[in-house]
Amino acid sequence: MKPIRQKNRLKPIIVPFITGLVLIGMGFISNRDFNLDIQNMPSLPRPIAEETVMITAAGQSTDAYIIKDIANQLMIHNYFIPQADHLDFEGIKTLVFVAGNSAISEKILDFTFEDEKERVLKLLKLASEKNLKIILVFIGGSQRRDEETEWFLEQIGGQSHYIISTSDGDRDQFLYQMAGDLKIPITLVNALDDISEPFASAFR
Amino acid sequence: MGKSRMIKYIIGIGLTITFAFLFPNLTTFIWLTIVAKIREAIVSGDGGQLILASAYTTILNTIQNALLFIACYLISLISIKRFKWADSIKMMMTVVMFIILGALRAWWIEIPWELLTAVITATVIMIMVYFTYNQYDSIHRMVLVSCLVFFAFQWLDIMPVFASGPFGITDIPTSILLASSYLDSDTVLNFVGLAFFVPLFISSWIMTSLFSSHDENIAIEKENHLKEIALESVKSSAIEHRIYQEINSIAHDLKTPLVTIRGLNSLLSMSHDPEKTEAYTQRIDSAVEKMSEMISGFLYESSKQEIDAIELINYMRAQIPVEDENLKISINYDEDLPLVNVNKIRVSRALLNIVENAIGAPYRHQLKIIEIEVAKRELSLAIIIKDNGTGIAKEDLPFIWDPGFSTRNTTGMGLFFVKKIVEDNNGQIYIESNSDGTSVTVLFPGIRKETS
Repeated sequence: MKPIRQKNRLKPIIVPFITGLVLIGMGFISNRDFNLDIQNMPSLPRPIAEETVMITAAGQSTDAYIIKDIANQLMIHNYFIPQADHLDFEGIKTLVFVAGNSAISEKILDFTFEDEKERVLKLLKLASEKNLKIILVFIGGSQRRDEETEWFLEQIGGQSHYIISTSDGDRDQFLYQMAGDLKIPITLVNALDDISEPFASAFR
Repeated sequence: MGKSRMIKYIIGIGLTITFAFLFPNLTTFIWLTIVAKIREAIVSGDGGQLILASAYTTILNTIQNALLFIACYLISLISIKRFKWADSIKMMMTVVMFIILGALRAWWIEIPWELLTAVITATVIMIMVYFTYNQYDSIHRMVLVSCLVFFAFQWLDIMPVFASGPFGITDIPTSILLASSYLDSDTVLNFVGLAFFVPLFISSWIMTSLFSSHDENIAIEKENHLKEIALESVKSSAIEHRIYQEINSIAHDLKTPLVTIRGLNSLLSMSHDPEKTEAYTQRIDSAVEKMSEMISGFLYESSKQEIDAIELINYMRAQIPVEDENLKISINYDEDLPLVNVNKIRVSRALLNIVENAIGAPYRHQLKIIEIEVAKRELSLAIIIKDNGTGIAKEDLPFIWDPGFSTRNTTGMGLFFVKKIVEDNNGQIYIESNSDGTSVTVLFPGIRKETS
C-alpha cells in the first residue's frame, strides 16, 4: 500500500482561499473602466442614410440580432438577412454590416471564412455600384477582435459612410484612426445600450 | 503494472482522446441549439433562454475539457508507473499535456477553446488533489473530481462580472455576455454563475477531503488488522507453550504410578507366596488403571467421571508444591458434599493453577495463607480458594480471563485455560479481589449421592 503523506491541516484551506482571492482579483481587474477619451461624434448631426435598410452579419455572429432588434425598436424599416447575397438588394438603400466572426457559426452553418469573405466583398462591390450607403457596426468588444473580424473591420470600414462601435472594441484606436484617415464619421459608445442614438441619427 | 492492466489503460487513453477530439463535431446540433437560444433571447427579450444557453454551453465545455483532461491524466499515470516519478511531476505533466492537446484540438478541428479557464481548472484540480493528500492513481476519484471542478469553473465563462477579463473570450460566451448586456440580464447571469460555481467548487473540495480521510481510515484499519494478526500469533504461541507445560506436568504425574509398578514388579519377581503375588498384581492393575485414567482425562475433553469432591481436592492437593516455610495452606470441607461429573485430570489441573496463582501472588504479610473451602451451595459444589495477598487492581479485573493478559510477566494463559476447563465441565468461575486478598469461587453442578 502507498504511504500516506503527513497531513498539515491548514493546507486544504489554502486552495479555496487562494482560488477565491484570484477570482475576486480577476473580477475587479476585468471591471475596470476602459473608457477612452476619444473625440468622436455622439451621433450624426444630420442623417446620411435612407430606409429601407438591409442588416447583414459579417462573420455570422449573433451580434447582428441585437442590431436588428434595435432597428425594430427604432421603427427603421429593415430586412434582416444574415447571409444576404446580391439577390436580396431589391429596394434597399442602406446596407448595415454587423461585424463579428463566429467560429461556431462557421461550423454549424457549414461555411468557411473564405466563403464569408467572398460574400462580403461581393456585397460591398454591389453596394458601391448601386450607390448604397454603408454603415459598419461593431459591438463585439475586445473579445471579438480576432484576425477574421479585423479583416471585416478593415474591408467594410474602408468603404463605410458611418462607423459605430463600442469603445472597448476599439481600445487600439484602429477604427478611430481609420475613420480619421478616410474622413468617415465615427461614433464610439461606452455601452451597448448607448448605440440606439447614433444608429437612429444615421436615418433621422 | 501488469500487461493486461497496461492494455486497459492504453484502450482507455485511446477512447478518451478519440472522443475528446470528436466530441465538438458530434455535438454540432447542440451548438446550433445554443446559438438559436441566444437569438431567441435577443429577439424575445427572454433572459431565461440566455440562462439555458449558458447551461448548455457549460455542460458541453465541461464534457469536452474533462474528457481531454482524463486522457492526459491516464497518460501521466502510465508514465508514472513506468518511471516512478513524484506526484508533483505527474501533476505538472498532466497539466502541460492538457494544454498541448487542447491547443492541438482547437487548431485541428477549428473550435474555439477557453484556454485560461481550462488551464486554471486543470491546475486547481491538481492542487486540490495534492493538498488534500489524495492518492493520485485512484482513477474513479480523479474522474469524479475533474468533472465537478470543470463544471464549476465553466460557469465563470458566462459571468458578466468577468467580461473583458480573462474568462469568456471565445465565440459563444462572448455572444451570451453581449446578449446579457443588451437584455440587462447581467445581474441574473452573475447570480446563476455564482450559484453554480460556489457550491460545486466547495463540494468538489469537500469530496477530495473526504476521499483523503477515507484513505487515512483504511490505512489505520489495515494497520490494526496487521496488529491483530501479530497478537493472534503471540496468543497461539502462548497456547502452544501452555499445552507443552500441561504435557510436562502430566508426564511428571505419570511417573508416580510407573514407579509403583516398577517396585511392585520387583517384589513380584522375588515373591513365592501366591497371596502376596495376587495382592501385588492387584496393585499393579490399579496403578495401570490410574495411568489409563490420567491419559484419558488428558487426551479427551469429554472423558468425565462421577467423582467425590474430597477425592478431587485430594488429587489436586497431592500436586501442590509446598516448599515454602512461609506458606500455609488449609482445606476445609463441608459435610454431605455432592458428587460432581467432571474430567478429574483437567479440573484438578485448573484448580491447581488457581492455587499456584495464589501462591505466586504478591503479599505484604510475611505468612502467605491460602484457604481452600469446599462447600455445598444448594445443589452445587463450590470450591473457594482465598489468599491474603495484595489483591488484583480493580481496573485489571475485567481482563484477567483474556488470553495473554498478565500483570506478572507470564504468558497470561493460565486463567484463560482455567475458565475454559471449568466451563467445559459445566461449571462457573467468579473472582473477587480487594487489598486484603483475592477469592476465586468455582462452582460445579452436583449429583445426588445414591443412598442405599
